[in-house]
Amino acid sequence: MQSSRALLLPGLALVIVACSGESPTRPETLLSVTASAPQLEIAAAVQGRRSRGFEDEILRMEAQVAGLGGVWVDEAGTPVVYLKDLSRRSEAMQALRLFASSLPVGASFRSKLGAEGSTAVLQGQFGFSELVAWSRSIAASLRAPGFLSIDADEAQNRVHITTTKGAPREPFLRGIGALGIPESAIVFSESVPFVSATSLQDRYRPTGGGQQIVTGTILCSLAFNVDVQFYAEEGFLTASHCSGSFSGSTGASVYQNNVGIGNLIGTTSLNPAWDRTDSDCRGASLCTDADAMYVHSSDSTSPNWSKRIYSTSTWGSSNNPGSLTISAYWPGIWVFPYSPWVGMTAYKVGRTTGVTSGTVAATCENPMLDSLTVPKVVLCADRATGASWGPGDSGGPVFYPAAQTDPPYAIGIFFGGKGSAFNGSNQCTSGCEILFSEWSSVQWHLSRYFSP
Amino acid sequence: MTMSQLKLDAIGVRVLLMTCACTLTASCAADDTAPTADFEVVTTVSPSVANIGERIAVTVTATNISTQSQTILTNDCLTAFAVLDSAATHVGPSAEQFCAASGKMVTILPGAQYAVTQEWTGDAMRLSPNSQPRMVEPGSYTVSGNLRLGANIRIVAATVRLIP
Repeated sequence: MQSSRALLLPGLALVIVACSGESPTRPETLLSVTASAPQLEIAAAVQGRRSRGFEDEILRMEAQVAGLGGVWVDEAGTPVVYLKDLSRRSEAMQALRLFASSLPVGASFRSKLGAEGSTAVLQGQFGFSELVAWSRSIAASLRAPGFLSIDADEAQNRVHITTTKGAPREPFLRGIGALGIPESAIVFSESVPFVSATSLQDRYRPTGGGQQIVTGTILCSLAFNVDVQFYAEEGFLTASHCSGSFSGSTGASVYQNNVGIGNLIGTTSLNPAWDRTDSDCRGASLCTDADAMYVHSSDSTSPNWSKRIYSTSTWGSSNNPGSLTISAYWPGIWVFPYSPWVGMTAYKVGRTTGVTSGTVAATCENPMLDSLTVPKVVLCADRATGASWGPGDSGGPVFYPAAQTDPPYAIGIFFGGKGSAFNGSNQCTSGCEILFSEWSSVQWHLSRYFSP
Repeated sequence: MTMSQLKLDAIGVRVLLMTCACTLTASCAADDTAPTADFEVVTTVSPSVANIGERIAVTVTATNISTQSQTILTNDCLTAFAVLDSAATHVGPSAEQFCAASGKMVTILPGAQYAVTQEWTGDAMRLSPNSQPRMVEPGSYTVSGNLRLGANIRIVAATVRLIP
């Protein structure tokens, strides 16, 4: 691990220097938030977007009430709204009153919102669309140690960033300044690291990389929750064969952890057919560029969906499986800026063997899977040795964990392997090798850019 | 059953499969303290005497002998058996095949069975990841089913004799 990290750092510095042309510091590579970003958020909401949950309702209200900075209900059950311009209070209340009748909220909230004497109005500093645009921009661009979560906070009229205890603020403030976001729009809070006795196989929210998912009777693992760039969609990536279909069909329901009404987390959305006919397919009737699919999330609100990879209490190496107990998670994932190389250490996490690591032994191979049953070829996959795996780990993230000041890196999606011995818990314990499709192959195959 | 079989107690089999350090003896035949098993896993081979390189059909059948339905995680691509030499060392098969790493959930009712048939040609495990493929030496071997059903199982293994 140390040697791979040592290799990684100089290369990363080179990339940043090349991008900025000057000092090799990350904030200088950030792009400033365009002035139209808040309007685009409102436009997306008005066009029917629901992926942000009630926040999309607030944005739709802001389309009617300029300068609306948030809508929430206080402990006494009173609706509270922020307005940038209090002189337009009566006009705003009238508009909210009209909007309230169609709000998908409780009857009490509907009856009080916009009613004089029943709704409190506070001085706001920022429009809610500004907060959403800024939080999205920060989440997409800023990588800083201890970055746990970010929220457009309608109850504080601020962007709310949560960090681990004692995490330095300077990297955040530098990044926020580089994006052109006023520092006064940000509030910070700290949280203890995530600790739980929950297993990767249990039902747990928010969803994240490494958790057990199921489609029909096929058990797999979730790779990465992602934004689909330029499509204003949220969902997650996993292995294509986890759908049980190789024909390109979509629309299958995916659950976490088991099939059940309350466990539905998405519907297969992008899952190209395994129909490549390259010579490297070696005549296999099922052949693909990458064993990957995109599942559109049915609920990507923050309590239920988060861009994170779950870690477990112990990690396995040298053919040993890891623990399945969730002990922490990695937020703030970057896409690995290189192609994996032979000799580097790669990690994966899945519902059967937890976090395990191995050494990349080959890149861009064309392995044939299930050659004695239903042969299928995955083109240009990478292979690592010494990483325990088991049935059900398919679709799990292949990554490099956060260390020191480096963020976690998304490398690819795990889909197959072999081993000479398995224990009674379906875990490879000897001669273990794993296969994964690289991030770039996944994006090429699915014709989308994803932000993990 | 038509071929020679060797009955082992659950603990003996676990030791065999996990560490391959146990020596097979008749003393393994009974253990009154063993917990009630969920599955009996029976392995049959055909033919039971074969030339090295000849295809031997290995059928592994798990029977739910508990009073409850059991849901198991299966993957038909993974090797469903282990070959042990006379010193109970795990020597084969080579398990060279890459498998898709999804699992399929199968529910087995009490008394019902789940069976997998695979082939073995006498291929041995590699000594190291980069070593050459090889075959086992002529002799008698124990073929023991491993459907990765946990520890609470009763195994009935088979024997096969390979000739040059």
